[in-house]
Amino acid sequence: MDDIFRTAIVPDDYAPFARMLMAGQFDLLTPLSPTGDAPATHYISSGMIPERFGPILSDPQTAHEAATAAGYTVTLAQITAALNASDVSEDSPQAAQDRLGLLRVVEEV
Amino acid sequence: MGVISSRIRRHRRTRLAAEMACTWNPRRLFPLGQEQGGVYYPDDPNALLRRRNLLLRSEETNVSPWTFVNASGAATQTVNAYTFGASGVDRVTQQSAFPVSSGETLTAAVKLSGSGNIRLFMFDGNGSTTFSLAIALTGTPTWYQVQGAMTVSGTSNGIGIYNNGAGTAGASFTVAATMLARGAQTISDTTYQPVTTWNTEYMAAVGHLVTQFTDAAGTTAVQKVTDGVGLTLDRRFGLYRGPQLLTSGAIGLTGTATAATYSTTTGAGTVTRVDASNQSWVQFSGLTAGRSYQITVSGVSGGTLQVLDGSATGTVIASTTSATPCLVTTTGTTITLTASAAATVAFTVTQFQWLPGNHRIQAVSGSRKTLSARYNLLTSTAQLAWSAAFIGTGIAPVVTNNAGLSPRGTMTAQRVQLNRGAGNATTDASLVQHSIVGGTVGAKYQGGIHLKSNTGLPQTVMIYTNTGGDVSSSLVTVGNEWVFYKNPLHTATATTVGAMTIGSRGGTWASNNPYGGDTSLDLLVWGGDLRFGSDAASSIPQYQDVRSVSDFDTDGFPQFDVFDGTDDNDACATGGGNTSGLMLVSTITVVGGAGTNRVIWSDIGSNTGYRVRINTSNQLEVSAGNGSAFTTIATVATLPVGETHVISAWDDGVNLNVQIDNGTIASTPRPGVSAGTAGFTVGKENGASSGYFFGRIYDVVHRFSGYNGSEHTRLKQWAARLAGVNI
Repeated sequence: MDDIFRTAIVPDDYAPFARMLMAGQFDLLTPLSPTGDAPATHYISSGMIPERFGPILSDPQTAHEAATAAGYTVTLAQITAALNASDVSEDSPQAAQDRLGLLRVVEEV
Repeated sequence: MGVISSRIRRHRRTRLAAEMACTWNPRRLFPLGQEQGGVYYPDDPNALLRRRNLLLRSEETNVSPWTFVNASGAATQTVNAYTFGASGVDRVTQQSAFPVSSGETLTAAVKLSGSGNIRLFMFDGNGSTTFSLAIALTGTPTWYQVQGAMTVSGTSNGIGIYNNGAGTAGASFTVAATMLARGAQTISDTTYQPVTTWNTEYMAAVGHLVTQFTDAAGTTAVQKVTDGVGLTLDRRFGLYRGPQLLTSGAIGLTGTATAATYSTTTGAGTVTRVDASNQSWVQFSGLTAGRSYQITVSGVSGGTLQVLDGSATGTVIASTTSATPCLVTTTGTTITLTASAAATVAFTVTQFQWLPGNHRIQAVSGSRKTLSARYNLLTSTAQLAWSAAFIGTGIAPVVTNNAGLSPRGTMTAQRVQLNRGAGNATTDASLVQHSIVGGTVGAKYQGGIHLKSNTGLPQTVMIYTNTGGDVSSSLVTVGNEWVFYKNPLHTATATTVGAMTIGSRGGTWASNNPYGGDTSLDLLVWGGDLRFGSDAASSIPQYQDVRSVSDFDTDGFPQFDVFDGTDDNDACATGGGNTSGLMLVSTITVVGGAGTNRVIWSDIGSNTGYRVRINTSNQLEVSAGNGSAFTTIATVATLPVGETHVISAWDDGVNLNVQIDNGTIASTPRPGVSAGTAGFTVGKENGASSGYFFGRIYDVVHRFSGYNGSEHTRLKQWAARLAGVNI
């Protein structure tokens, strides 16, 4: 089974929830905001993930079944809200950011 | 006599120096166990073992993706043994796992024995028979094959066996092996390539040479471009493995369960699990914490075998039901094998060896770099999607697909007919154009395409690469042979880049204008290419055929890892924390992120350690921390998007230095360096979610202490050669 390419942009409010559900697949740690300034309003991850996550990221019911099977205690409503608020696409990360009008929050180190 | 001996010695020295120059490898920098650092670069998976059988599964025809159709109602299938009814409708088929091109010749082959008559067939596009061979079966397993040119591109082509036709008697037969291969070939036992999971064959054949794996546990080899890379092995010791440690295994038990068994001679064993509190195991002890051990098990049966770092309650590194390797970097001194669920699992440990080095991993799938060798920025390059432009007296261009033989012998050349009419003003034109979006302003590009006259007569054609009104054009005379024509380098002034325009326009051609060409053109066109200007100057083929973003020519194109600038990175828990010096050389191509910090290598902590990055001014920069502050030095020169360069950063014990290719060295006195973290990160800031590198990395070599200028020079030359660039 081949991996699939996806880019996910998740609002800040849902990021901890999404990180938990997508552990090992997307870390969702790269911050975005409309101005490029902190604080982050969204987080982005992009890359190849196992094929089974295609339907999980596009269908709340499938996602809920997968999360429940994995031992998470979450409601369908929670997952539906998280997926509806998120942007999951096959776009490159730059194209997805541009489409949503978001910029990378660059922190000087 | 003395003079002759002297000459011989001199010649020998010269020859030896030449041999060393061409065979030099960075592992020469690392006498075993004496130097710390790392050497990382990808191989072409095809160079290790080329996939020739296009089927996903070649012997177990009862398993998906094989499809068995019992349309007669009288057919049976028992594993690989079949009976077919007397009609012509029973069949067993499998599609190609890899796309093929229209016009490409394939060979379908089966090894069969049995009685009766059947037919081997190869289907093309719609599943119907295109090429077939009637077979009168015998009791001796025999290879049978058919060849033919496909007319449909993609993966809807394949192989099948069906009854010999309505009215013929039924047949009974056994399938021993199958193969679908590119080209007209003769398949035999010696040329047949078996495929069960492919990873099984790949690892069995070249596993000892594999340095990149798709998963962090090292169970699945990177086998093709576009695969993600979860584990990258350190090659500084030439993939040397330590001695077999089968004798370090011993059985153990907690609670009540059938006792484990294990042979320290053969590696054969069994483990049983009732539940987590009641299970037996095999544990390898006396290992060295922080070392990486490569473990391979085979013959797993009865359930799933787990490999755990530590005890039976440790971290699960790999789970397997078949023969598979994995790499465990131990946090303690033990590695344990258990059953994953309630069962008794039998297995044989065939390998348990220390694999020295600082191996880089990325546990998160979406954050893995990907292997690539793609230089042509266009997609589906054999037949470009053209847009037409005709103005003034110009007539609408006509493009006909599959109108002629391509340079590769496939029937995929496009016929392009253009006519600008009676007018000869610059407002009279007939053109076809192909553009891409997503270019980088300021980056240099070169467009090129294969052209041939379709009339047999020479024709003068105007071609150009452009962004908006900025044009890099050529006026070429196209003859009766295929020639690849390249435009001059073009610096993009917008993000939409016109990769190639072909046609005729009134006016007189001059450098960098879009005028000229014969009034009427009738051309064969094939294979467009748009690449970064730096790639156009590299020692790589001038055209790369791209069938899709995941299927493109790789032979002759240096492999590299792509970091997406968003989250891709990897790290090693060891290999950082040195204070006495550094020599880092890497070949990179910046693809994006201009104006931001982009880290190549870092083991920094809080004002400690070393970091090599491209800074917000797009300069190469090295920093070293003394515990209170960083000392930093950057090049004056920059690293623009699209250019491939060898970068160097080093601490020679006196100064911190950075250099791009063989350019000016920027230096500053080194601080008293405080140790950074024990490990290091490549592709982002160490210990932070920032500084993601966006581009290609062909190689990374870093060594602590003992800086040597001649070694550095040799290392740079090697790094440049690896990427096909000259410095």
